[in-house]
This record gives sequence, C-alpha cells and structure tokens, in this order.
Amino acid sequence: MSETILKVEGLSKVFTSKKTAIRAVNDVSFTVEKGETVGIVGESGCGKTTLGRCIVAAHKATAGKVLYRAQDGNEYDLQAIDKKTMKKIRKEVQMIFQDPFSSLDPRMAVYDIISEPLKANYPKMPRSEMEDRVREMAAKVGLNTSYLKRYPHAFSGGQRQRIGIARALILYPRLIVCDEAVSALDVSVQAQVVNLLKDLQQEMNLTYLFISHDLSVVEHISDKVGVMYLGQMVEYASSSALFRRPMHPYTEALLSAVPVADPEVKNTRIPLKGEIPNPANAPSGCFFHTRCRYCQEKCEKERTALRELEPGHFAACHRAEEFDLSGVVRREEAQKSEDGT
Amino acid sequence: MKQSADPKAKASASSLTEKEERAAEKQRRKEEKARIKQEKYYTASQWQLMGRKLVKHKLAMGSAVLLIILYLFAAFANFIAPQGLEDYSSSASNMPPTPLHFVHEGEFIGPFIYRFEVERDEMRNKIFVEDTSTPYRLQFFVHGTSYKLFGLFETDLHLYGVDNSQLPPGQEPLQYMPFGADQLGRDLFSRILIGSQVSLTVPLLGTIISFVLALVIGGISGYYGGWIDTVIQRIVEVLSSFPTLPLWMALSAAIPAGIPVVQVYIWITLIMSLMGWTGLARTVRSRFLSLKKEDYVMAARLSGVSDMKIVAKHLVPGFMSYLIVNLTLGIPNMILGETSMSFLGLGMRAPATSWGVLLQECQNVSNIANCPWKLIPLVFVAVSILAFNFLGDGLRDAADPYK
Amino acid sequence: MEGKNQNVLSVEDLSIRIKLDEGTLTPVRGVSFQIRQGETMGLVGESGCGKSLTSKAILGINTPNCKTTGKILFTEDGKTQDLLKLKFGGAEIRKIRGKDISMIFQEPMTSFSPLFTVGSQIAESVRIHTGKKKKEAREIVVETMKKVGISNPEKRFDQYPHEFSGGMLQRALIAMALVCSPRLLIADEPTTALDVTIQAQILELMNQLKKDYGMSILYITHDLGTVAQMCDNVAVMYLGQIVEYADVHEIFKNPQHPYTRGLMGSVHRIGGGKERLFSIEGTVPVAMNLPDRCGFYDRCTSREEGACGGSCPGMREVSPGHWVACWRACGAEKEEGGHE
Repeated sequence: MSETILKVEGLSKVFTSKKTAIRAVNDVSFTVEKGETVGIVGESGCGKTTLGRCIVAAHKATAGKVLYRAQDGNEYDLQAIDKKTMKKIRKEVQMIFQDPFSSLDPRMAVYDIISEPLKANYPKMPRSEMEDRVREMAAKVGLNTSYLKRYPHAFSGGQRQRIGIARALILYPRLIVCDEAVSALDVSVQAQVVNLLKDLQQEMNLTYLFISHDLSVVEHISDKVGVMYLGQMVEYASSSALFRRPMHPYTEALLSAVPVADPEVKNTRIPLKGEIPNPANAPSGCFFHTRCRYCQEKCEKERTALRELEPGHFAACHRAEEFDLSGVVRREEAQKSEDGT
Repeated sequence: MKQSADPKAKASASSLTEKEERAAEKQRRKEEKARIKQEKYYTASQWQLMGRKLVKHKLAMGSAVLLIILYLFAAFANFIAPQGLEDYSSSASNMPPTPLHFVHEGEFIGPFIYRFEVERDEMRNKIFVEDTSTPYRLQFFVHGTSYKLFGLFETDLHLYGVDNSQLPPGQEPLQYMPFGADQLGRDLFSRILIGSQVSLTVPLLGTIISFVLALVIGGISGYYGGWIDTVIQRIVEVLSSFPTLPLWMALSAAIPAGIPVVQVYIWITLIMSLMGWTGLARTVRSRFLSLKKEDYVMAARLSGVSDMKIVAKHLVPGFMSYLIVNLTLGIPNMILGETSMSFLGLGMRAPATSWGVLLQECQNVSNIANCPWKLIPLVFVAVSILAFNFLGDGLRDAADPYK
Repeated sequence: MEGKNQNVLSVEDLSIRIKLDEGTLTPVRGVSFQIRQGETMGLVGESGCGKSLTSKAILGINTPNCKTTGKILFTEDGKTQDLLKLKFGGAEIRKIRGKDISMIFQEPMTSFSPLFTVGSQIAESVRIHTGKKKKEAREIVVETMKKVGISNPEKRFDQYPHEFSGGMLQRALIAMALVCSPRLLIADEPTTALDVTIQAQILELMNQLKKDYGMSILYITHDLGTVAQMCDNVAVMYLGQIVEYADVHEIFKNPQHPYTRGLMGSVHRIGGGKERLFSIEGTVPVAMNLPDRCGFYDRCTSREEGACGGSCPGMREVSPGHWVACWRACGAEKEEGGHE
C-alpha cells in the first residue's frame, strides 16, 4: 500500500501591500503519495508557483499546513517547524527551478554549485568523499565530469538544468518540487530532461510535485494532476481521468486550447469569455463564474470547494454532476470516429 | 564518394594522401588549439573574464598605465624631486621654467642649464635673463637635501639635478626647475610630486574607508530591510542633501589648529570618506535587494546554507564588480574634493602641500597673468581625474560579463 | 485568380555572419525559401537555429555587426526589389517596413513604450505611412482594434500599455502590425509568452485576419503544436540551414530529415501514453568554425560514416514539393518512414 508523503491542508497565501491583498493561494488541499508525480497546472498568475514555494517553506503561508512524512516516519508541518528540525528536513525536500540561467550563481564553478548543499549540511565531510559524491551525481544527470571546473556560462540551457538537478539531488532528497523545470528549454532538450527526471525518479525513489503550464508535458510525466485557477485548486484527479473526462468547465476549456501537433486534428477550442479576473479583486461565488459558459445563479453566489465526485476525482464545481465534459483524449477519439464514418 | 577514373590521378594518389594526411594533422592541431582556448574560456571565473575584457579596452588600459606611473611618482617623490619639502630660495621667487640646453658655444655637451640673473626692466618689473657664460650640467643621482625614502631610509640621493657641491664657494646653489618656481622660489615640479603624495592617496584611502562603511551600512539596510532599512535610508538622504561646501567648512573647522601634518592628513581623509559613503551605500543596498531575489540565492537557502554564508558567497561577490566600478568612478570626486578643500585653505596647511595648496597661489589673477606656469598642477588634477574616469568606464564595460 | 501563386517574398541564399571576440559566428548559412501570396509559412527550429535572425534580416533590423549576404526579393504590385540592397535604416526600407511588411514580436510588454497610449503608438504608424491626419488615423486605428477583438476600442485607444493584459496587448500589437494592411506579416513566436487559452485566441485571430486581408504570414516558432494548426507549408531549420521543407500535412505525416523526426518525436502528444519520449542526444553546436559536413552529423542516429561525413548536403526534392537536405533521405526510406 502506498504511503502518503505530503499532505497539504487548507493552504493559503495572501500577499499584502499597502492598498491590496492578493490571495495567491486560496485554501488548497491535496495529498501526494510516495513515489508518484503530481502535476500542478494553470495559467500564469494562478498561484501554482507560490504553492510550490509554500510547500518547500520558502514562503511563509498565511494559513494552512504542509504535512510532510519524513524519512524517520514522523510527520512534520513544514510551515510550523523549528529551525533545527527544518535543517534536517531540508535535505529531504528540494526544488528545481525554472530558469536555468538565473538559478545558477554565475560566479561559482559547477563543482562548487553542486557541492554547496553538501558543504552546508555536512561540514565535516572529507574532501575526497565530497568529490566522489559530486562526480557520481554529475554522471547520474548526464554531465561530463570533466566539465566540473567550468563555469555556468559555458553551458547551454539543457546542461544548466542538469546542473540544477544535480544540485537538488545531491542530498538524496525524497520530495522534489519542480517549478516549471522544463518550460524554458527547447523541445528536444525538454524531452531529454523529462526522460532524465523519470529515470532519476525510478532510480532514487523520488516523489515529484511537477508545476508547469505545459499541459502535454504534465500529462506525460504525472500520475495525478491538479488544476489551479485564481489561487484555487479547481480539479484534482488522476492524469488519465483528467485528460479524458475533466469535471470542471475550466479544465475543459484549458484542455481544448492545447494545440495538437497534428494538422489532421482540428482544434475545437471552447472559447472563454473575458479575461482572468484580477486576483486582488476576485469575483464572488465560484471564481470561474464570470467566464463559465455553464454559469447559473447559484454559481454567482456560493463559493465552491473541491468535492470528490468519483473515487480520487475531485472538482470544485456546483454543477459538475450535470456535465459530461470531454478532455483532449476523448475529443480526438470522437473526431476520429466521425472521420471514419 | 568521389571516384577517380583518371589514371593520372591514381598515380599521384600516394603523394596526395601524404599531403592530405599532413593537412589533416595540421587541421587537427588547429582544432586542438581552439578547443584548449575554448576550455580556458569555459573555466574562466568572473574575474578572469573581466580582466580579459578590460585588457582589450585600450583607453582604460592606457589610463591604468598612466595612473600606475603617477602613483610610482608619488611613492618615489622625494627621490625624483630635486628639492625637499622645506627648501626655498628667495632669489628664485616666481622664476619661470628653466630652459634646458644641449649645445654650449657650438659644442654638444649634454643637458645643461644656465644660471638666471635677476634684472629689472624699465617698468621696474623683475625679469629673469640667462647668463650664458657658464653651463651647469644636469646629472643623475646627485646629492642634495636629505630625506627619508618611504619614511625609512635616510638618504640625500636625488634622481637628477645640478651638482651644487662642485660650485665655487660663495655662489648660490641653483636648481633645474622644469615647471618654474612659486612665490617662495620653490621648484614647482618637486612640489607637485610631493603634493601628489597627499592628493593621490587621500582619495584612495578615503574611498576604501567609505567602501567599508557603505558595505556594512548598505548591506545591513539591504539584508534586513524593514524599519532598519527605512531609518538608514533616511539618514543617507539627510546626509546627501547637505550642501558639501558648508559641511566641509564646518568639519574642517573642527580640525584642531596646530596639529602635526600627519594628523591633518588623517582628518581630511576621514572627512572625505564620511561624505562619500552615502551613494555607495545605496548601490550596495539596491544590488543586495535585487540579488536576494535571484533563484540561486533561494536554491542555496533551500539546501540549508546559512544566512551569513549566502551573504559571503553569493551576495557580496555578486555586486563586487559593480562596487569596484562605482569606487573607481568615485575617486575623481574625492580628488576634486581634496583639491577644492585645500584650495580654499580648509585642507592641508603649509608646510605640507597638495595640488590644492599649490593652486592657492592662483587665487590671485595677476599671479596667473605673470606666472602662468603656476596653473600646471591643474593639469595633473585633470589628467588623474580623466584617467580614473576612463579606467572606471573600462571596468564598467568589463564588469559582469554574464549580462 | 491573379497572383494566387505569385511569390510575395523570395529569400535566396541568405547568410549572416557575426564577428565576435571569440571568432566568427555563422548563425544563418545559405537559407532560401519562398512565400506565396496568402500563404502561411512556418519556420520551425530551436533556439539558436537562426530563425529570428532570418526574419529580422528581412526587415533589415539586425544590428549592423551582422554581415548579411544573399538576396531578399520582395514583390509588390508586380515590382520586385532586393531588400538587402536598400540602405540600412534608409528611407526606402523604412517605407516598406511597417507598411508592406510588418512584424509581431514575442514579448508584447516590451514592444510598446510605457510612456505613450497604445492608440497613439498604433496611430503613429498610420500617420507615417499614409500621411493621414490625426483624426483620420484614430478612426482607422479604432476600426483595426475592433477587428482584432479589442472590446471597447474607443476607450482602449487612450489607455497605456500597463492597463492592458498580456493577451490584450498582443492583440494591440497585431492591430499595429495590420493597421497599414501589410502584404507580409512576420510573426516571431507571437504566442510563446502567452497562456494556452490566450494563445488559442490569438492564433484563431491571426488565421481569421489572414483570410480577411489576404496577406502572407511568416510564422516563426519552436512549437510544433501551433505549426500544425497555423501553417500551410513548413520549413525546419537547424544550425542556420533549412533542412526540410514541405507542406504541413506531408511534413507531419512523412518527416524525412532525422532532425525533423527527432523534433516530432520529442513532442509528447496528450493521450500518447507514458513511454519514454524520443530525444535527440547532445546539444546544438555553436555556429562557429563548423566543419563542411551535414550540420546534424554529430547528433544523427541514422548517420553513415561514408555517406554523411563528406560535404554539406543540399536540398533535394524527394517527392513533389517535399525538399530535404539529407544524404540518406530517399524513396526507399520514405516507405519506411511513411507508415507510422
């Protein structure tokens, strides 16, 4: 039986400035099982990056818990943890960043970048051992170990991302938050890095929280997917279920907008009215009601929350039961059978 | 591939392959060389890259060489200058630059000078006329006024001069004065050199002190943020909104009268640096704030690197290049500051000298009209400021090769 | 119909060299292609393949240190002229730029000056190219803004860029590009910075406008998904050269060049299962001191020492309208590649 490694409960993060309060993350709850990959998708400004940063405790959340089951079997709330324990847990929860250019200090050689976490956590580790660890990790992520003396400016985006991955993995973590880890890369390099991440997951028994706006990559890599809109998680389900038969109208519209790399498939985009509302001034009721084509009176008034509609399939929509929506997979099948007849 | 049906081509095939092989070998060696060069570039740290770029900046390099010469002159000022700080000669008062001669009565005898005789014209103005009867040869390594080189070695050896010990008794010693003399008959060239010991080092020391101040105060401001930041920023604003001139006057009024030259020097350096740190502190703070947001700082934090280490390993190196550029570009202001203070009589006082003190004589218009050579210190001020500015420009272009 | 098959733009043997401290870059090496009237041509490639430099060369907006050779023939009203022969920044190229050929950039936020209203910036283009008065220009701009789907254009005209969202601003940018009814629109990654839902809107808009205005589009992107939805013909670029050219159906169904195949293989298709993505090993070499052989040689999985190690392959027509620059692409392999 799988074991829950991460439980996010009622997580909220509000950024307040003098005039406005932006609810970047709004009462998000979900669980992640050990060894699986959970994808978080959404458009820019939906709060997915903030969510990731709250989970690695880079941001202090306004409310809610991030319960992490550590190696020692105990459960820790990463949002309410003392510094000493945090230092221990740090080794187990790491992050891979989006921008391979700004995530590496240009003034440090690759060896120093990868070994930095080791130096910080094991100050007494002998030099030779550290060198071995760094070499091993570099080889694991597919970096030529003779390049360790080079500086980041010598590398292309894909290689830099490998360096970032090596740095995140050198402490043998258990949970990795990948924040748009492949979004800045070229298509062919993206495939390389996605394959690498999958291999490493098997090899090192990693759990990924894979945050991305690229739906096709998320579909490929994830076991479960959470869809975010305006700081709220509107749907959470297994990847196959979500892409076949989404239950939230926003997910449906989002999926319909993904361009298919096949000229024979016609895009049948479901148009969304208007634009994403300002998160500082979120609409009443269901956040999505201003753009939803199924909007009714109830939607304008009552807030929505995630409800389990089918085992393991959660959606935050009042009318979810009434719909039979189509994801990418189902739509293509329908089109094919139509073409066939 | 190519197929040669021509028998001639086949015959010459062996020599051709040899040639080809040699060409291939050459090509391989060339590629290897290029690869090594590339690898060197790849393993070059920020400072190495910066240095490489700077070397290519001709104007900056020229300025750097010039500055090195100026500072060497300042270091060896007592040795190069034929006159000491306290030498003077009443007969040479306001003497124009001494012409240098090589040919005496149709005969080449090396560099020499004639003695100046003081005469009066019909308006009873003092004029200097060369007495061409006796040449006085200029020599290297002559003995003159004794001094302490670097304040350590007592010696009376000077780089060049007229060997006055050979003069017949009763004759006044004479000097070669390439830039003329001032009111008290002191060699201006010697005074410029000795003055540069003050004028070129006060800015340097002052900048270093304000650099440390800026680093600490700006760093605290940028790192902690919040109310500490607000307080420091307000203090900086207040300090930098004072008009400089009255502030100098107030501060230099606080310098006790009659204290030794060394103490005056320290006081002036402190005043200059207290005025100079505010701008730098702002630069430090803003760089701190922007670097703090970089992903690699977050990555370091997430892997458990302590705050102090992050500051030392990521933040400070991150803006060091900027700071050095700002420092270099800040030195000219300090040179100007010291010069203006001394010019106004607020800085160095006689018998000590600096370029500003030398220029004091130019406060009198008739003095400039009659003795225009007294403006020569101005050339030194301008040249050193330009040199620092060019060097700073070059550094700025070379700084942060990653962006 | 007159002009349906007429070339609007014909690029011939375009090469760009950039002198750097480390050596001479050759980011574009002998690129040739044609765009017919009303056609959308996709120029696909990864970063650094020279696609953006090619498009900028057409507009003559590359930095002066780019040494550009070749021919860029632009036909307008039966008159053909070589844009490369025009003086850099001169009056003639400026007359064409923005009027007959216009461009949409990737980053809508940086394409507008924050100091002026969006409307006035679009109107400026109208006034320069048509010499219309302020009031007339405003009318034209409002009309165009309405066409590109900006609601309430009268009000939007007087707003500043920061009051627009990213998608709206991209629409405004398109309005600016279209306001003089250009013959050729160059769209350089027009939707890369946008979210998928907005991307879909913008692409639909561009397709609609292409029909309305009868213009040609040079669509530059790295995203094969949008290429499939947008383009009539596709040219794939690698390391400064076009390696494959065919119409969109042919190239997706029957890619011939190993690079094109690799590129298509590395794109995951939703519902395509969880098996490993195909990936092209290695990295794109720096376009400096390149040996005279196929640029893809080092990364190619189907290379053959003897056949591919020699000189650079030129474009060959392997089937009608399908051009490939590969020594090994031929009829026999086509069958193999055809059944997927």
